[in-house]
Amino acid sequence: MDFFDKNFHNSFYPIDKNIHPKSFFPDYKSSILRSPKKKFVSIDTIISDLYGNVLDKKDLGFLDNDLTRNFNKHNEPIGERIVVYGKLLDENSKPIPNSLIEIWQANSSGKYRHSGDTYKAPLDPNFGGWGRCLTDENGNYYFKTIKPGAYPWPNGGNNWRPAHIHFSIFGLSFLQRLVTQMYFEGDPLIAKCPIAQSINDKKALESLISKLDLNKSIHMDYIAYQFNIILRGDKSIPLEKSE
Amino acid sequence: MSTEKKLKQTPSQTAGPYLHIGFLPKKVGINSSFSRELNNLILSEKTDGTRIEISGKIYDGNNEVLKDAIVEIWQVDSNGNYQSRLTKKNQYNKNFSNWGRTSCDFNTGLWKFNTIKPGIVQLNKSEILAPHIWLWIVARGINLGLYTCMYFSDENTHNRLDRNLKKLFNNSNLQSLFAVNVEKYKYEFNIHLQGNKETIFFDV
Repeated sequence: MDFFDKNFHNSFYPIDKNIHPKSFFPDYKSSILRSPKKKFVSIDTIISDLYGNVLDKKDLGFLDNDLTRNFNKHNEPIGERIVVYGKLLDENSKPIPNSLIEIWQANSSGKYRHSGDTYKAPLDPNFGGWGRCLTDENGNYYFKTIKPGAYPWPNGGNNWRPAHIHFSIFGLSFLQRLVTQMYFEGDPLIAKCPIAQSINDKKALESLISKLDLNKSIHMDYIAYQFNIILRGDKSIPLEKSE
Repeated sequence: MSTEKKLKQTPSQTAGPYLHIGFLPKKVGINSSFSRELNNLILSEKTDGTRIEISGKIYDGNNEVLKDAIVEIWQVDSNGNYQSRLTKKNQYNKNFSNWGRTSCDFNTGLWKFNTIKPGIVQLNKSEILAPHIWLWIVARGINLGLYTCMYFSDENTHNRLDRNLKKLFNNSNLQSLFAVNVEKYKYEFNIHLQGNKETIFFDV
C-alpha cells in the first residue's frame, strides 16, 4: 500500500454488535420507523482519522465543563451538586488524549431547557444543561454539574427515564464517534427503561452506570461519580510519525 | 499481535429528542460562557476549492420528514487530503476542518451545508475514491449513529472507478448514494431510513 492507500485504510476493530443496541427495538417506540431494515454494507476504504481539528483548546470557554456555573444568572442552580469524571480509553486500554466530549442533561427536576420538552416540572434559571471539555494527555475528563432528575416520557405507557447524562464523544477518528447516556448507581428505573434495556448485554448496560466515588468528592460541596468510556481500538501497530 | 484481553466498547444510546442542547446549544437559546459553537464551521473565506451547497431531508418509514436530527459530515479538501496521523504537520490544510455539523430545521426538516467540492483521492496507480462526503446521523429513535456516504451524480466517470462504489454496482439501492445536481453548485441528498428507497448505510 502506498501513502494514500494507508491513509484511507480502516484499521479499527469492528463495531461490537453484541454490545450496542439493535436499530429496531420496538419497546422503544421511536425506533420502529427510524431503524434501517437492510443490512449495512461493510467498507474498509474510508477517511478514518480526524486528527484533532474539531476544536482547539483555545476555543474552550473556561466554564465549559462546569454546568453549575456556565449558565449561572444570579445564583447557584438547584439540586445535588456532582462531579462526573473518568477516563477515555480505546479497546487496547490506550488513553485517548485531546478528544472533545460534549454533554447535555435535564435539570434537577427532570426538565430540559428545550422547546420540545413539555414536562410540567420547572426550568431552573441558573441551569442550562450543556457542557463540554477536551480530555487531557492521559485521557481524563472532568465535569461539575447537578444530578439530573428522572422524568416521564411519551412511549405509549407509564414510562420514566432514569436520571441520565447524554455524552457525545469524538475520539481521534470519525470511526470512533459515539453518542451514549450515563446512568447512576442504584437507580431502580434503569431496569424498567426501554432505552436502557435496548442494550441486550447485561455487562454492557452496567458499563453505562456511573459509580459513586467518595474519594473524588469535594468537601462539603460536590459528590463524585466515575464513568469510564471505551471507544473502538486501532488494530494496526501504532505508526511512527514520519520524520 | 498482542494477546492481551481487549476492553469492551461502551455501548451507544440514542441521542434522544433534546440533542440540540449538547450539539448546538444556541439553537435552543442556551448562550452560556462558551465562545465557539461547532455549527457549520467547515470552511473559511480562505479555503481553496469550489463552493457548493448540499442539503436534504431525512424520511422515516412513514415517509415523514425528521425535524429533530443532527447531521455531521466528514470529507477531504479540494486536493483529496485530510488530516490524519500520517499527514505531516506542514501539510495540514489550516483553512479547512474536514468536519461540519448542522441540524434539521425545526419546521421544514431541511439540513444544509455550505462546503467545498471534495477532491478525488488517488489511492494507488489504478484505484481512486471519487468525490464524496461522509454523513453521520443521530436523532431520537436512532440507537446507533448512522453512517452513509454521498457521491455526486455528475461525476459518472470517476464514480465508475471508485473502489467502494465498484463493490455496490449490484445493489438495488445504489442510486440512494448519489446527490442530485439541482442547480449549479447545489446538490440535494435525501435520506430514507426505511422503505423501498432505503438509503444504503455503512458498517464502518
